[in-house]
Amino acid sequence: MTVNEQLIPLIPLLPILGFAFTAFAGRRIGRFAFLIPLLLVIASWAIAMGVVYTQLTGGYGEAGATVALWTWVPAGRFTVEVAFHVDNLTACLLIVVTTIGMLVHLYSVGYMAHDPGRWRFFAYLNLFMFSMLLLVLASDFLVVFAAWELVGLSSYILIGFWYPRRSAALAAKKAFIVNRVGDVGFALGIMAIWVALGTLDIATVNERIGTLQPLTISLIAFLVFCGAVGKSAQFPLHVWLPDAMEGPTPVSALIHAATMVNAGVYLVARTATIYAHAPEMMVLVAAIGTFTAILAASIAFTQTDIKRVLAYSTLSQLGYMFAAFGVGAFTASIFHLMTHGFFKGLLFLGSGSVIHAVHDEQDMNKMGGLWRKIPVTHWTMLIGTLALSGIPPLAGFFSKDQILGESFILGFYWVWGIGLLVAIMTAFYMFRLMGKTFYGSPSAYAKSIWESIHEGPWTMLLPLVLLAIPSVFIGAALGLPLADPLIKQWLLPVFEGAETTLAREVPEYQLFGIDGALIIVSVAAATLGAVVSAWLFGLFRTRTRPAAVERATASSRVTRFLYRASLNKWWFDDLYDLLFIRIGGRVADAIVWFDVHVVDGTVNGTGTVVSGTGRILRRVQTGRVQNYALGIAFGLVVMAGAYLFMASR
Amino acid sequence: MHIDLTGIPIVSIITFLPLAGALIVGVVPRRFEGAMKAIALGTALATWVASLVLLAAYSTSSGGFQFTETTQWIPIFGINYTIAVDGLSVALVVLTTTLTWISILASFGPIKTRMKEYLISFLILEVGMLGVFVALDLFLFYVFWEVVLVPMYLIIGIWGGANRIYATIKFVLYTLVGSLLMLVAILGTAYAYQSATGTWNGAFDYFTLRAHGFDTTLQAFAFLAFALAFAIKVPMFPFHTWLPDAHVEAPTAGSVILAGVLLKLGGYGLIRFAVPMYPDAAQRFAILFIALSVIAIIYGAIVALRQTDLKKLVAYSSVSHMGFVTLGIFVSVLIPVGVAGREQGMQGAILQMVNHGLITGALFLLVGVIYERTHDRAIAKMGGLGAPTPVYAAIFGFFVFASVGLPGLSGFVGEFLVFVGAYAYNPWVAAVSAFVMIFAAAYLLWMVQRVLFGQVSEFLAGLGHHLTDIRPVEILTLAPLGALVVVLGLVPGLILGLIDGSVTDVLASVHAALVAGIQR
Repeated sequence: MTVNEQLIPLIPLLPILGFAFTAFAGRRIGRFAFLIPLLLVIASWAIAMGVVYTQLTGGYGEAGATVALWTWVPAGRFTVEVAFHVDNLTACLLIVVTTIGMLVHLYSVGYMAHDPGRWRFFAYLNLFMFSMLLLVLASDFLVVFAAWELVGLSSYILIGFWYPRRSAALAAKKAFIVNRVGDVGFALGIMAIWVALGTLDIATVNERIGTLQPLTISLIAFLVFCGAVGKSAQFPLHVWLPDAMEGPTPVSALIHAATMVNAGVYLVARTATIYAHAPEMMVLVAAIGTFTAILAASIAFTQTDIKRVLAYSTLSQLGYMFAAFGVGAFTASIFHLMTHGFFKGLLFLGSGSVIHAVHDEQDMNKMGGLWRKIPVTHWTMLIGTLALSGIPPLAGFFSKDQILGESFILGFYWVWGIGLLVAIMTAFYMFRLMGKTFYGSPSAYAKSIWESIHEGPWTMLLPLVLLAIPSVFIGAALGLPLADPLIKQWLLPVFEGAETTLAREVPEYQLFGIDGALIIVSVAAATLGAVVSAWLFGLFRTRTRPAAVERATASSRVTRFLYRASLNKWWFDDLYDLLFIRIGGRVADAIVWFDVHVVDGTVNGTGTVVSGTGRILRRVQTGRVQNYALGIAFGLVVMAGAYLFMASR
Repeated sequence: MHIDLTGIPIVSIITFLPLAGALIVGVVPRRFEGAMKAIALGTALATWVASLVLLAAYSTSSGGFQFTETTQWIPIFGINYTIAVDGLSVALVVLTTTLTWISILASFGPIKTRMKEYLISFLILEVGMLGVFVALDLFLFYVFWEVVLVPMYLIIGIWGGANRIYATIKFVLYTLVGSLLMLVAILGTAYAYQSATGTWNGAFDYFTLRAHGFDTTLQAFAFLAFALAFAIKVPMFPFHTWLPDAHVEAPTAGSVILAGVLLKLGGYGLIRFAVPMYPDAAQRFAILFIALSVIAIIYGAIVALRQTDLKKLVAYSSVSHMGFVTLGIFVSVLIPVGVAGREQGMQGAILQMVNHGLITGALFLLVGVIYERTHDRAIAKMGGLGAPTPVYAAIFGFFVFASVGLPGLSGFVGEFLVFVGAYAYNPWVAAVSAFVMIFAAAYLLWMVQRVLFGQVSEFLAGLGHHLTDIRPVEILTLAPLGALVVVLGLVPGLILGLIDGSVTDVLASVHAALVAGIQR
């Protein structure tokens, strides 16, 4: 089976049609406004699957498929084509984006059923789908940047969906502005690329980048990475993502876990050749990723809002992906992107199901013992948790092991060591989440609403089940055989150039040697975290040990400090508030003072002097016109004098 | 499609059609207010249609100036009535005619007094604006330039807000200082030409003067005088403080025209006259203008962040956005031939002029819509408009994001091309100005948060049923702007193709001067 490449444009175009239609007609349609957006996304998914299949089986040939639409910017030599390009990397992203996108649409039918603005919600979701698909399909940097901004817009309006709520409005604004900080870098990177190479076509840029000065390449790599740091919420721009949880939960699942936040990883992967020519920038990428991974994991330890735990977990896992990319494990990075997309999407939708069940409560301290009441949610979330923790044979195990293993083999022991620690922490905070939510005895609040706790409609449960399946199998499907996994075969043509440039020696895979040992170590790490956590926070009917948790945190000054640091998110929000809102605000005030008193003050002062002079002159000359005439004459004399003076020199 | 307009003085027709309308409105008795409105709107629409015909008839493949009309006017000084259009003129003429009919339509509700004088002022204003964009005789240009001043002075001074007298006098005096300097420069240039050639013939003719090649002293003197006049109009930092005052006091339509067209007179003047006529001086002083532009871009955005009045906020955003226009022009002047980015800066500048006209025009209309209902523009009193007026909120949000520079809408491409030019000139210039991306998002989204988001404020709730959603006629004024914002966002080639020749032409003058300078 092959799908004609001319159908590729339909993948993003169907959702934008859905947006346009629903934005204008949705209000009138009312209850069933979800239908058109949902059907279009399903159609888009079906075409995408056909395209992906064709591409991965070589149906479009070596170079992949390209469909050019029109010349967006024809400014002399600055020419930007809107063209879609499908290669194996894009195919991988298409699988994640369209599948999870479709399931989130379906889930939202149930989740948003009682919201009066749900037509708006579906319109926005479709807009997001369009933007995200444009992002992964675009063949030109400027079109990627356009999509980059459009996903930012979709994210903004969806975080702020419940705009009467102040916290939602603030979170939306924060997300957009913090992202823009990274975008400044990305935009400058695009300018640098064009000025240096005269083109923004990604394939051509990757081809020619090696001809530039090393310093220019490093600069470009750094600037592009700034964009990735913003969109993928890496340190120091990580602060927007946890706040973004103000958006409805399907949004958190789709945009802020499974797709949009991956855009940064996709971007660096797409430009891997640039980074291969700037190895020191790859170290920076690895460092930022590793640091974010452990920073976010440490914060996830103490959060009590179920969605925020998952948000910090997302940050941490994205950190893994950047770490993998930085050490040169490009494939592992994309592999983790895919598996993470599925199980984190699942976990978020599961958390939505929990929140729905306990009447819009997100505080895990008010939950507990829910596994009996909402079994489907519980079991699917348990699968997601196991997958995320890296327990074999679930999805996360394979991708995480690839990251850790390759870091070690390639000699990045610090990435491996910290990564391993993060793996322990991940299993710990995830089982803490499970324990506080599903196990132990119900909290007072949960008891008070016990009778009314129930599962959502089938539209919510079906996506959970459908996401649980890949969360179990996709790792094994793409990660086997361990020595030469399928995902490596897929992505080999994409990363071949970058890997050749890097020229890193990768020894033969030894299942019964170092590689096997690394697997055992990482599985042991995950198990350790999970077991300790389950002992403290419970597993099914086992008892919980809140006293032990308290004793552990209060045991020493160091642990007390770490506890407070974790709880306060290492004070980053406070620091930024001080720097940019308080101090920045003062600076802005000073500039406004300058504008009013100095700039405008000079103008008005001149006016006063002139009108004072005018009062004197009025004794001789009366009336406006004459005054002007005098002014003209006077000016002429002065100017002519100045001119003659200058000319005579 | 090719339209043949041989023998038809199309440029004159477009320019003076509004004057005919003004005369007719003048003779209609005051009690037939409906008829006056219909005549004014009809004239503006007819002018608009005529300008679209011009757009269709202008051949981008041949480029250059077309539809030239020349008649002797004051032969003793070689002053002619010379008008013609190139791509740049056509683009700005269409922008002007579009915004004028929209402004007139948007005025019918808010303007309660002296409708006749108001309509006449508006139509004469249009004559002046169009004349500036088509005049190729320096004296004629100056006359049109001054024609613009008077009706705008009246529009702000008579139909403006509480502090209108202060604002309008400030506007007039400030602009007058600049235009008098410009007059001196025009006369000085003509005199220098006459003394060099011994004839007044061509002393005010654009093409003759461009080809003449003045000595550096005169260039410096004349360029600075011209540039100051234009810089005040743009307005460039630090000559911008008349703008917020004028905007705040002007009636809605006045603000639309002020931001949409009047500011463009400055950018147009720089590209058409100051740079190509005095290319040596332009290159010599470009760095000064680049520095002021970068300051304006960042400074305007930061000051906008702190504004408490909706109109003032939009006014300061104009200072920031117009900084791109001057930045783009002057980086192009300095980038040598053959270096990537040379044309892009000025192309972006022109694109930015058109887009700023559309987007900021729409934003002022939107502020006007809310002012109609609340009689207030204080941001602090707003809040939660999303719920009671959802359609208004959606349209407002659309234009805000256009102003933020969202790709796909028209603002983006122009700004990006300017950035590219700036980067090619000096990466640091681009790096510093790029921070406006953050500030613009900050001041605009903070405004959205305070105006549209949150709970409905007490002040707005107190208005009860007066707080109605946007009306069809108001949508009618915004829809064409919205459509253009989308179309030009997706197909900016429509403008870029039009202006390409103009940019090449101006930069060729700059290059020729450089070469001549080296040979000397």
